[in-house]
Amino acid sequence: MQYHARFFGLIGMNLNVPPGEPITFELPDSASYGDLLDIIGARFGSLFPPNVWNAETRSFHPQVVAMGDGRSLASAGRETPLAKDGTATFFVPIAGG
Amino acid sequence: MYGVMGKMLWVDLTSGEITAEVPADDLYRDYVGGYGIGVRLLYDRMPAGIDPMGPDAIFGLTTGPLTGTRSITGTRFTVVGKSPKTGTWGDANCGGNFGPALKFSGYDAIYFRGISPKPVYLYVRDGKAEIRDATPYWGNGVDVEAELIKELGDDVKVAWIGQAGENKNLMASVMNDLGRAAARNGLGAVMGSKNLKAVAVAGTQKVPVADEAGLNAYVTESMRAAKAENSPAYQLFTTFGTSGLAAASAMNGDSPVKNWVGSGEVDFPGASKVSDVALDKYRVRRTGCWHCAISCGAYLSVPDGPYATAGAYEHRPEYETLAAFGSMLLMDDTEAMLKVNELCNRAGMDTIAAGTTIAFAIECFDRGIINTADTGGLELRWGNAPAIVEVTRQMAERTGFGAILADGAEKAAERIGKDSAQYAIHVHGEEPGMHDPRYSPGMALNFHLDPTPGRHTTGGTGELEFFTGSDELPLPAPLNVHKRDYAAKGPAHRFLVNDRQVANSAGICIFSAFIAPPDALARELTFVTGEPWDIGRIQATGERIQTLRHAFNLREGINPVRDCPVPKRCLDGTELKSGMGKGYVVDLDAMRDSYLSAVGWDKETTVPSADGLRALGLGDLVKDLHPEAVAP
Repeated sequence: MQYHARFFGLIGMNLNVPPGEPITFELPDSASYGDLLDIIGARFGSLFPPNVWNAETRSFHPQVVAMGDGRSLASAGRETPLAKDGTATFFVPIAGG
Repeated sequence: MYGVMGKMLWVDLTSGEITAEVPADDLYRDYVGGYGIGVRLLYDRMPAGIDPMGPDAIFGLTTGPLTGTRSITGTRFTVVGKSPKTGTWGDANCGGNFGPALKFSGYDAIYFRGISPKPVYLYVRDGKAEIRDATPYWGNGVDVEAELIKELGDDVKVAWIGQAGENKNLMASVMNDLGRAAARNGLGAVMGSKNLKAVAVAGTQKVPVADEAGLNAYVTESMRAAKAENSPAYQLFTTFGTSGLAAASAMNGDSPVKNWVGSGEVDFPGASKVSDVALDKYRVRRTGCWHCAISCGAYLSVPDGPYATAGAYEHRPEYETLAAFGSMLLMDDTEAMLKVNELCNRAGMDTIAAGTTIAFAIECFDRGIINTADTGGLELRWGNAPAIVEVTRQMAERTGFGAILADGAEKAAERIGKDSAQYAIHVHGEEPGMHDPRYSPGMALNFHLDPTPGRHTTGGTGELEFFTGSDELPLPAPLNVHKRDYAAKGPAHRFLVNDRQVANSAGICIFSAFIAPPDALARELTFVTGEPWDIGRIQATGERIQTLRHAFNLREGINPVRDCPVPKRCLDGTELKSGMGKGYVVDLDAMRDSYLSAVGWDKETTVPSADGLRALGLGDLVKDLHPEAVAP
């Protein structure tokens, strides 16, 4: 199945794609959030700014929020199934100003 | 006392009398500083029912004990008064360089009453204060800052109002540091009503710190750790500032879109054009508030074209501005965004209020309620950058159609009539902050119950829901409830609101929470004041301050349950086509009941119990809020 991801601000700045542009990944049917993280890490892990991506645990820093399929994927965990043709967004939340 | 200068200045602008007051130590101990002390003094000295822009109104510029110390982000000052926009308690805080300089001039705060017969500014240097003629500067925006520095000396720091404040626009801000805004509640209009153009301060006095070596060691180690950890939040602040959030928030549903009825993915695909990387192309250099170790600011420049910057550079727009003029108006023209930011900062105008009011006008235009005959020919369409820039300019100058909009959405709807009020998004007259409660439900409680309606920076579950993106609040049990367990959130909201009251009153920036250790507020207050501060004292003090801010409104006859409804658009996500709030309806009543139970306020009247007031050290309020309890 296909799944999409958008990387914003700090997370997306080095990926050589327009900021926030959806990137499509081919995943097995019934793929989980962990499968998405694995393919993101393989493709972009070395391009993220320091400490954003943990290659050992194949996960983002806890400050990186992942929202997709109407929920917090990071809170739900790696085993969370993904919706076919869905989109996850990754960003670091700060607010105010 | 440590952490404070121990003196406050009172200036009567009608008579010209200037008096220095030495407050009792208990005032500092019980109310910290900033709006904590501000609300205590104004509650005591300003009767209920006064005209917020009349001679009896008191307007204050205040600092906290951490302002002007080495504390992490100890940079902020707070303006206080009765809001002319909402008729409620009003406060707004701001970084930059004015707050520390005010303390170095010898005073913790300056309060003004009366109305000057002509434009004036106050000049304070090392304890000496003088009212001076500001007639030559009246009509200036940001330029007044450079002119006063040229006249008075390079060490002078200036708080000022621009044309919006002079024109008494109800969205006028108090500014400093070339465009940093104490924006909310229209307190710039109060300053303008007093014919007070600016306050210029300078001095060489040092803030006394009880344990300076301890504070220095703590701050040095904390910042060393933060830099070594180099967390994503730290990197984001130092790279993009709050602009690093704008596109993501628009796409996720945190930013309201198209006057709160749109959906980012569907209606605002160009969000990235007015966010982080796109803005960074215009960066001249980074900047920060006084001695701030985070320094999340930047100066930008547009060298030429229709939106060329007026000065050599201008402050980078903050997230709130980018949302209010971006996703709210569907405007994705980068240089036009920088121009409206510049116009608002130079004229001293609240960008949240300005953007939201223009969104209201565009929706009215879109629906045929107004047309070009009303707008002076302006085609107020979604995303029409030239018209948006022009109407922003008119609002600052209070000219043309801008004069209709200059006091905010509520007043604009009254002027336009024709059932337009349903499209004016405000809470008791104030346009809410740019964080959608359908995404972060707790934000609705701030909009609804904070004594400054529509507020987004006074603590609570909404901020935590957004900052963490987590469904479950990352707090110790039993506060770790699900963000949509509306009936259970009151205790967590109470805890977080109380904490923020002390942080805001102490004079630090909310961004320190991303960088500093979790116990930083208590540790720094202890180092600076020499008194023991812990979570228990923070909670008790914070609740005292919040209750007094709320009591100010109750005494004015304002009950938020009745008077501060949050528009349905901010709560009902059933029509959203995308974003994290899609399909949800926020149960504000359940959240409110839970919070009111937690703090012991009546669920219908929101009046705190007499015993509760006494327990907080606010027994003197019983006569006002429970007259039956003290009746003969």
